[in-house]
Amino acid sequence: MKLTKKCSLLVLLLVMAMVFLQVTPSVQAKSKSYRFTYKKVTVYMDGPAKSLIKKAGKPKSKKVTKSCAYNGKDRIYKYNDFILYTYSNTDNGPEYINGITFLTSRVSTKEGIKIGSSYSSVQEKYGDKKDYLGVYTYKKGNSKLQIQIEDDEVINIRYIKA
Amino acid sequence: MVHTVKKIITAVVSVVFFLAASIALQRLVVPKYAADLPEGNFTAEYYDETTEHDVLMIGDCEVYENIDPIYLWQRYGITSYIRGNAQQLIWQSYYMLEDTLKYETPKAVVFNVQALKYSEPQREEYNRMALDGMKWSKIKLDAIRASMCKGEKLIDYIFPILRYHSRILELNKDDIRYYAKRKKVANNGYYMRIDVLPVSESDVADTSWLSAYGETEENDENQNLSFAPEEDIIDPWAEIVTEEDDEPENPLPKVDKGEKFSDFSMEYMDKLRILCEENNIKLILIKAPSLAPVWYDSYERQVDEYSEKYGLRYINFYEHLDEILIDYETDTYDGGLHMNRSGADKVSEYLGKILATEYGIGDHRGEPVYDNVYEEKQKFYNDMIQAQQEEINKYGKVISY
Repeated sequence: MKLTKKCSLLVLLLVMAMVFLQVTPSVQAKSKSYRFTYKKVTVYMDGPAKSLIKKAGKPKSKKVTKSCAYNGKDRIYKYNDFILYTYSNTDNGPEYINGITFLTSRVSTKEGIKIGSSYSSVQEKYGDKKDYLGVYTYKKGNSKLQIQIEDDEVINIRYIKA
Repeated sequence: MVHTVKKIITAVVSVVFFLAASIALQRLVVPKYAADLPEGNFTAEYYDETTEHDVLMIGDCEVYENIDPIYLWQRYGITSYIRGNAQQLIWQSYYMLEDTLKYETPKAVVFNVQALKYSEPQREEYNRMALDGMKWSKIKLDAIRASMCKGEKLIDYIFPILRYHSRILELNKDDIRYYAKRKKVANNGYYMRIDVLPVSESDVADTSWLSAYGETEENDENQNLSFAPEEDIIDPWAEIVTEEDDEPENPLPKVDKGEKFSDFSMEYMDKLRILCEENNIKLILIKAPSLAPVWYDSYERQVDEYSEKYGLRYINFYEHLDEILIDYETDTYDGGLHMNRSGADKVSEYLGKILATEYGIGDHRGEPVYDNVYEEKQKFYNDMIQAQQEEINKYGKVISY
């Protein structure tokens, strides 16, 4: 009886451990990822894209490509101010953020950097970093922020997956 | 003394029980790939085979969706199997062949060259689908080590419960139904679809680049450019070089940049070729007629050079579309990315003729052991056709496959 109780307790502990350690990919992504906010909607790499797609409205253009597995699509939405890249794991399943490219100075990073910002403000917000051909890459969790500087000014910004 | 022995027995029983419970729970939480992503079952299904195969096809979805082994049997009596998976990379194809050689030695191996353009691991999900079903051996370990993406750990492959434990709150009826035995999803590794989505009605591919296939023009910088469809999404980062990779993270691949296959990919191409030579297997390279991703002239040149250098047969199906009578309005179920059964049978007719007449792959029809096995396989195949047709009649589309 005692042995049975011990075994049952072990199984219970095992199941509880599986439940307790459960962290969905989007939650993990949320806590360790650069965030992008557009019209009060905040998204992050590998996080759901639905709210941003809804808030951004009709894109100027959209492209869809399929991944090798029969399910899942990659989509590119072009808006006036940014390009949004998403992926889905099933053909018509929810879309997740795969990347964001800034196109105008009307959008900025959460830290306030936008196209046209000074290099010194980038250093102030993100710290000193060695560049590669004018591109500074900052990593946070599962995301990267890449900023291209020319003549001490930001000319291109994007978020991509790490 | 008795007390001590009792304690030891209790401890041992507890440990054994804990291990058994862990294994049972692990079996419960690993994905069953019954409703979604049936590719996850492809690798393991091979081990259910009871007869040998003269031809082994290896590669990614361009293989397992574009060639029909049951047609090859029905038409030519050729026994064949497709060991393919979603975005199966060339090193994974190599290890699939190595694994297969533990059980049989085919007379010919057909390899689709699309995977040569990938030089590094792509996605963890594809790795798991390809490798989780492989039986444990040094070959599987090598395959995992070659395939792991950043952040993946070997221990998660050895104990899948560490990777899939979070599914304990996402279990569904398939996890119970297929707990003991996985659902059979393929026909000798062939993923069959009978529905039709013409390329003209889809936004994922187009045929415009085929018309200029093989024609190149050089720009002022002496680069070779292939004809590219119009692209109206211009990402400034497409032209910016970053440190991690020379290719932008989100490439808009519409222009032939003269990309060279990586040393890593070619290393495994050599290993594949040598493995075939060592086992007296004829290696045949193919490029399946999928419309996307674009197969650039620069890729074609490299495969041509390689096949010429080593005396390998290379069949580029784009060059035989008229002969094979591929029609992207009727022969594809996803807008040109992959063939449906109609298209796969056309590809198989062409390939089968070459295998039978030029490679002497024999006709096993009339041999009782094969006849019995393939009678059963054909029943499963025909049942699947009927089931898909019923779904199309009822819902207007295929749902369960």
